[in-house]
Amino acid sequence: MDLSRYQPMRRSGALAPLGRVIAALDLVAAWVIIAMLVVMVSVVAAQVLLRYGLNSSIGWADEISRLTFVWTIFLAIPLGVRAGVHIGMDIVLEKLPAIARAGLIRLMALVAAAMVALVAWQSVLLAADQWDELMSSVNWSASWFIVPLAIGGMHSALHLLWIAVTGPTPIDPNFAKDID
Amino acid sequence: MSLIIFAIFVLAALLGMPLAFSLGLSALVGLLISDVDLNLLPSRMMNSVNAFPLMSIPFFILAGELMLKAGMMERLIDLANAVVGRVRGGLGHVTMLAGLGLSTVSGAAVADASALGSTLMPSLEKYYGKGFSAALCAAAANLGPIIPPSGAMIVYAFMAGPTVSVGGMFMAGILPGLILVTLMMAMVSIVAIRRGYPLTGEAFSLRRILHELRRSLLIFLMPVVVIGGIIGGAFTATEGSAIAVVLALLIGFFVTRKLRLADMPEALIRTAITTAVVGAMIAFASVVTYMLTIDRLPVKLTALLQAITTDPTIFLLLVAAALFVVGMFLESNAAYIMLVPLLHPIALKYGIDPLHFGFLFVFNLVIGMLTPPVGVVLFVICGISGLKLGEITKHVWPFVAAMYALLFACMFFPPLVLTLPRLLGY
Repeated sequence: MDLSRYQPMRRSGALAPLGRVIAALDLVAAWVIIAMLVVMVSVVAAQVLLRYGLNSSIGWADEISRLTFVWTIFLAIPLGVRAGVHIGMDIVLEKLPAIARAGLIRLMALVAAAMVALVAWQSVLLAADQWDELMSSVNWSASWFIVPLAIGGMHSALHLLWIAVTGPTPIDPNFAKDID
Repeated sequence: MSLIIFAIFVLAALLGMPLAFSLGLSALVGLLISDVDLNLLPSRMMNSVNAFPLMSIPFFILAGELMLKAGMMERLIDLANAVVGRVRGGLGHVTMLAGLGLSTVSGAAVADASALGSTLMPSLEKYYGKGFSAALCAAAANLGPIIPPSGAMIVYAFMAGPTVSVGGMFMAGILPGLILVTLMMAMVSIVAIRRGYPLTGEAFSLRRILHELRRSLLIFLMPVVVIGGIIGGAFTATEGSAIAVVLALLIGFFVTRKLRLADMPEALIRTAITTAVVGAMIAFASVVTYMLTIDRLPVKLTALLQAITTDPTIFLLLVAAALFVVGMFLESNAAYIMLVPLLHPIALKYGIDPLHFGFLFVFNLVIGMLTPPVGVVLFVICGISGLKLGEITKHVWPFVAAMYALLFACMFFPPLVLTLPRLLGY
């Protein structure tokens, strides 16, 4: 199973520890996402098969599959930042000299990092505030729907901060050809 | 306030911030200036993607990924070769038919462009030169979001709300999609005859067609079961897309035997990241849409447009012109997310059928994927062929013209779009 792309992004220098932390987070996020997608496909497909095969259904299928979907999206956003595949416009950027372009990308990454960090912080507050509310089909806190925003937000902020400090990320060749 | 939000979004996007984060930044500024509690940000973001219908996006992407890894392209191309036989521009026709086949299991033009370009470009180049070959792959890939399943139609239906069903949108695309592939094959024939392209392929043989049909039967079983199940009411679009994943796994592991367990993590991660790119835009855009709503922008826009015209056809032409410009500069998912909540309710006020408007909206933006400067399908084919954007554009414009001709035909003759959905009760 090749998830070797999630290697530390810079192996030496003062930023090495941060690079290692981000890479470790990436790897954990990747495995959680894989697990979430497997659960999501299995639960939804099982629901259909049970309905037609055994004339029964899983009561929590809808809510848990949505929960795994929400986790998948918000945990995968930072991996998209690392892969450099979030869609952007380069009409202005491509007309700038290389130094100005890199500077602008760093500045925009810094602004975006601040914005997603704020989203993450607001998510922590909201999750804490709603912790006693329960989901409708299982006895879990409804805040588990908000938790991935906090985790994904902080993780994205770290990646964006990394770009702000070290410069633009090249697009992951695995995605270069087919992500719009 | 709406103007400030738009201005910040456009400024941040032009300065190179990814569109999702540009939307988030403009939403945040909107919340700050209107003094709304900031915890609205995570709650609206989470609620916007906490939606069962949206789960069909990763499922259809994953099913397409698995089918490609299972060796579906080779079988599709063999079948297309057998159907086309030995004619001038034969490989061009094969590309169009392979694009049609691919579009029945994949819902995204970009993924189709990658699959078609990497598989067919080497053979096409030998006969037609790089420019026309690249244009053929790009045009054929654009069938992806028109023929069901379609990621674009799922996003449209989700953003439009309960007046548009995914199944209805899927059905609306079939007839125009088939007309489009016929039109494009006619264009290939004209170009092949005018340029004197050589005869390619083996002589037509019914036996060979039947043999290839038998080999490809399982590939086509998937859209038949999935789309048939959705239309027949056996399951929802999301359930159908999960069944598509299960079928793709069964085909890949037990029929073609080309899929390996080791392929799975890569396919799942790619699916998740592709979904997150769209999901991030939906999540941040939901806050922007909320801010625009409390600023009563939809009401103001409706009043403005109805002051300009009360004629639905002129409204459709105005929307087409706006989307033509938008499609040149904005990625299509971003356009659905930002513009559908604004324009769809206005279309209803003009008395336009929601499926008709939805299909025209999607088709318009799909064509935008082939028009520079932001033509994402062109970018993919540029990457594969090594050509510059301008070199492909020179060869792709006849196909773009054919698509616009069909768009206007669908606009002025709604039965082209609505006959099939109506027959099936949508």
